[in-house]
Amino acid sequence: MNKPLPQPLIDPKQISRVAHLARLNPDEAERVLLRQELERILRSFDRLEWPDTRNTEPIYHPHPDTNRLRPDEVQSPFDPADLIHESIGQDGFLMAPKTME
Amino acid sequence: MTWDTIVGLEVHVELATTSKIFCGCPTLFGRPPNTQCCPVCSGFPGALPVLNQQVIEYALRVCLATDCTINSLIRFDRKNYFYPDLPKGYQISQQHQPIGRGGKLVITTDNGDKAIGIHEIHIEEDAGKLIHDPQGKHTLVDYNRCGIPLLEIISRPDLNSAEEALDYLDKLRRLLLFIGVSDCRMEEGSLRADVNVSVRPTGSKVLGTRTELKNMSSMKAMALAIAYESRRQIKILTEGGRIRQETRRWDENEKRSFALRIKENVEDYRYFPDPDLMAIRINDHWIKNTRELLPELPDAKYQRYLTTLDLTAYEASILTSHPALADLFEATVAICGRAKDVAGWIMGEWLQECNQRACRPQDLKVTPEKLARLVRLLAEGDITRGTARQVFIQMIDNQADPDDYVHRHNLRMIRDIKTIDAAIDQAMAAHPRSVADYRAGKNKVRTFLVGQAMRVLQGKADPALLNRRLLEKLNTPD
Ligand SMILES: [Zn+2]
Repeated sequence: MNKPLPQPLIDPKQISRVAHLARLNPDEAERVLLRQELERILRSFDRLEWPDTRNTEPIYHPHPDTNRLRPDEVQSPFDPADLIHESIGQDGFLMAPKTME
Repeated sequence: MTWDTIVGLEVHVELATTSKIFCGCPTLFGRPPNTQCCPVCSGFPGALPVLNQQVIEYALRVCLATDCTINSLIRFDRKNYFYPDLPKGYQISQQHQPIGRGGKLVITTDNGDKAIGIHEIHIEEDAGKLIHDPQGKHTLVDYNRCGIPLLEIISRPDLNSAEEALDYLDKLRRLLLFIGVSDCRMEEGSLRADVNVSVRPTGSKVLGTRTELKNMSSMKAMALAIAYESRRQIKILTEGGRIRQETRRWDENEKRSFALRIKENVEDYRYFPDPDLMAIRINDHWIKNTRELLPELPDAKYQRYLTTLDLTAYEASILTSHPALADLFEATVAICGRAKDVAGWIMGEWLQECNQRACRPQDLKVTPEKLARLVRLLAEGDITRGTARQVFIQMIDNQADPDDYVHRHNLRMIRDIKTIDAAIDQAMAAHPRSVADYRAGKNKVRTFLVGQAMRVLQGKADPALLNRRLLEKLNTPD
């Protein structure tokens, strides 16, 4: 019945790829830690695959509700100025790390 | 060897909703940075999106107008990538169950009509704007645009030249304007086109490696970019090289494109269903209601102008380039008939005034009723074209009523032969040298004398009659 638990394999290349996509630059020690954590996460997902779901409809959401819509009306209960701390703002803009394509 | 160019367009269009797609922030253009944001659209943890109903309405209109098959159940997915224009670290988009697939748009080519396939239409949210200051230490971010609803309309690679791509974009722009879903301003970024270009030897059935072109801010720039890219690829292949799949940025000043980055693969975006948003069911009733509300589409309008109103292709094309022009034209013709005269006035004086005032066609505050009466006065020979122009300016600037203005300022066209003769005599007497010059064979002087006689009558004389009488007098020696 149950599928056997496969041995998750994460090679250093995959670590590098995921780190790149997340724009992270981990050092060697962090890579070891990341690998352990990712393998634990993958094992948890494997656990989810234990039950036989061949005849079960996939669900996207725990609640079957659909069509939760709102009318096209402006409602701004927040003052946008409160969203930007002065330490990261400049002339109303946010300052992000320099990115040049 | 000859080469074929294969072009596909990915058009992003901002929908003209008053509030953003997942929050109640306003969508106005050109506001100070970060003044139209809230925790939802700037990605604060715990903030939850709620979908704007109007976005679905508008998306349905576009799907129906392009003959797409509409999915009865649509969902939203997260497209994950890290870049400062995206505060949440993902963009809400549709990857697995988009709203529409498999439509078409008909363009006009030298060889007649050609249907361009529409692969897919999906809904997503716009990202923020970045300002890269080469000298500065930071990239400046404005999140006002974050969460403005977008439709991405992806064509099939059915286009074969820059001209076809231009016509496709123009047809699409007209369609979107007429169904009222967007203002389609390329210069403000509410209509943006990314272009996929590849080339292949003529006759080959295999698609070549394609590149994606970005950052064209006008139709003209897009045409230049496609032509440039096609030439660049052909040159590389002819010299035995290979095309790299990459994104290239069009530089408007240098009129060439530059490689940006090797494209990330679809799997790098790690799409997954957004757990914060519920699915949307679109039933037949909803589709039927939307279909019934669709106005006459620009292609049908164009055909009708040609066949029942007897306009030329050029006239019909200009008048169907913007709903404001078509609406004005039709409302005016409904009152006074005279489609040709109304078309002529709108395409001439109306657009000329808009041009001079740097305003949009709908910004001239002249009602169809008043325009109809002006056109009638001119067409029935009650006033000259010069007078009509003068009255038109008064109508725009001072809301003048054409009949009333003509009456009060005594501007009716003068057709009385005695009055016209007297004016001609006066002009000829005042300029005996010109008269002599004309009689000595300097034909050009006539125009000057016409002008002088017209001036005597404040430009109100029947021009044909005045011309004829002047000619008779000049050719009859005293
Ligand atoms: Zn917001």
